[in-house]
Amino acid sequence: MSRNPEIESILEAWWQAEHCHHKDRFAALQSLNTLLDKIVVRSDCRYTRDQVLDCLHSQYQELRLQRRKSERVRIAQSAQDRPQ
Amino acid sequence: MQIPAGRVEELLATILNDPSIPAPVKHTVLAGFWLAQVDAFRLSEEEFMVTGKFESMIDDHRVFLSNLISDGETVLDSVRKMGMALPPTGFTEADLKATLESLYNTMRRQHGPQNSAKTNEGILQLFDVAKPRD
Repeated sequence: MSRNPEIESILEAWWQAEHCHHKDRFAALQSLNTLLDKIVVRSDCRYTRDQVLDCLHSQYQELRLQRRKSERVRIAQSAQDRPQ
Repeated sequence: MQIPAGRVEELLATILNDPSIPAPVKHTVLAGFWLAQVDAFRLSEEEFMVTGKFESMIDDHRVFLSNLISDGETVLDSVRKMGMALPPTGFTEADLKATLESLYNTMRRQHGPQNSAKTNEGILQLFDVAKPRD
């Protein structure tokens, strides 16, 4: 997992754009695009939003995997803690 | 609470075939159902990642994703042309469009052309990865 704060911000915004409440989807996508556009501008438009996302895709999949694993553990613990 | 898929489809068909229910209300129901399908799709993707089956399901992934995109385009088109009643959960046409865009993004990432190694290298340099947080 990246320890670069800017990459982490994009990965988090990407995750939010796919997982946030339905009524927040547009705002979440805008937040992601704003972060991506900073990189596009920094590259003097040599790269597109799509290419930046493609570059970070494997890191994003790893983030999703780790979050799903954590969620599974949380659910299992919650079930164990529930009174019989 | 889990509701059997067949029961949901039955309820949906009842609503859609009822002439007394206004079209904007039907569109809201359809849009809510489509958003729930997208959520279920994301969850399934992640479950397949955890169980290590994702790569072996990649052809099925493209088929499911294509169908979801097609359904989303149909829902969005209906909403654009005939409107949508205010849904109880508060999502808007813009939220539907953003969700659809996220599916197109997934399609490009999983099934489209990928960056060259040189492009990835160039992009990563823009992040100043030489200065990690820790």
